[in-house]
Amino acid sequence: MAIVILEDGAAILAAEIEACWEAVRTVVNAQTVDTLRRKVFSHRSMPSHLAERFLGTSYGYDYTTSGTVTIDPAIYPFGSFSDADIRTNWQTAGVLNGVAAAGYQLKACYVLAFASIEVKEFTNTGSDYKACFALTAAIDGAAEARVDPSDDGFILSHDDVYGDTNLLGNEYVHNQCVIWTFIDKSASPTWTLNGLRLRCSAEGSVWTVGRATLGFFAVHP
Amino acid sequence: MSLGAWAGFSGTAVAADELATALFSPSSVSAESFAKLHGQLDSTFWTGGATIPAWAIQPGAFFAGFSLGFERWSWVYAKQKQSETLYAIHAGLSRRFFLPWQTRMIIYGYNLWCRQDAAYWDQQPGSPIREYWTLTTSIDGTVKDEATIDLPHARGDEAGVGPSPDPGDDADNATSPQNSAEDRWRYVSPVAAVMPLSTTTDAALDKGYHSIEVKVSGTIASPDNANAKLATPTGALWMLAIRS
Repeated sequence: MAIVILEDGAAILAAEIEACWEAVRTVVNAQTVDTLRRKVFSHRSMPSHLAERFLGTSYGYDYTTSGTVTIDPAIYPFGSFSDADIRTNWQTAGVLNGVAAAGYQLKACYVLAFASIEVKEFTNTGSDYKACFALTAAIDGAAEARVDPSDDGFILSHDDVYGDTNLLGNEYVHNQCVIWTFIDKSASPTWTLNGLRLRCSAEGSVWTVGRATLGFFAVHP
Repeated sequence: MSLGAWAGFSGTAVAADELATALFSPSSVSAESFAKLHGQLDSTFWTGGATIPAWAIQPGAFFAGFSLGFERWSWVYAKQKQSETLYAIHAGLSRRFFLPWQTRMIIYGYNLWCRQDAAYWDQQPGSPIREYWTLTTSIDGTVKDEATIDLPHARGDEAGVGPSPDPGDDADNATSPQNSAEDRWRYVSPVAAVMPLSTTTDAALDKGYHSIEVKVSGTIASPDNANAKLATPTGALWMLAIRS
């Protein structure tokens, strides 16, 4: 399929190039997965990614300022770790829902989503307390729900965390909660991730989220 | 994926521009271009099937990452650090890193055990003083609030008898000593990402060298700042970069 070595002064003919091109195409198209060598493709042959939709948002507040995400159990009471309760009663601390809330139109892929929360403080009112968090997803128009029942967490505390029973002010605990979840949509040619949410609720006390981040990325199989 | 047939030159003569398009057409990405074989194997041609096995792709073609751990004690003393602008760089959690390509997203974080000297001073009368330490993460000098951690006081003032801050112990609370026990080390594991966003000023990182630093600063009152320290027995910095 090589071009014939030309004599001095001879012209390259269009037909020869076309024949060469076709010969190469035939060889290339005959290749199958079985003919691929290991590690034959590098980032040079794939300058564009197989993954897409890298998105996220973050919230960061200085220690000395009031957090803008306050979990008040009077407004967002913890009932249970059920999807129905999360949807109905829990507060949305962060949301990713695409452009104009239309969601993300994705091909077959795996999605890895994460949320990281740092609770700054809670108001000590003399009982036990907990702040609850859940990472939820709405997929293909279905109701918002956790991808896995374990996609939640909570921070438990109680009064007198510093050994001073006289303290009934704010307790600065600075506890963390990190949630990762995995969405397997490798068998769906196209699908819609309508949104991800970081939900939270509280019991017994008002909590303040000092810092949080929410994000995801999708990788094609 | 397959190469479509090329209609050939429009005339009988060799046309350089038409040949270039047939061989390499990064802008038009024509179906018959050989560019599909070299440099355009991307989602433009991808129809949803898993046509390229993972073993045919070189490690590092799309992802790169590292985990840098340390397992020796390190200390930072409060006398050295009094604000976020006067800090020490935690050597075990800071490094330069090389990106072989422009990134679309970087996920990073660290795990760290902390034993911080910080007290709650219940001044009676007077407002209480809360001592704390701050671990500030920055990439290329830009502070990442979402990956910044505060370490609260680990000692309380028992029974409100000030002004000396007594270390708490299990007897202070039958249920759990929680933060008031110094021998319960604080474990932190912030996770954050650098990614191009329409809602923030974050941008993808270009290929080349970059730096990530965790800075230690303390807000420790006198006279504690003469001796107070943040001790970190072990920890690890990790990062996963995904190419653009």
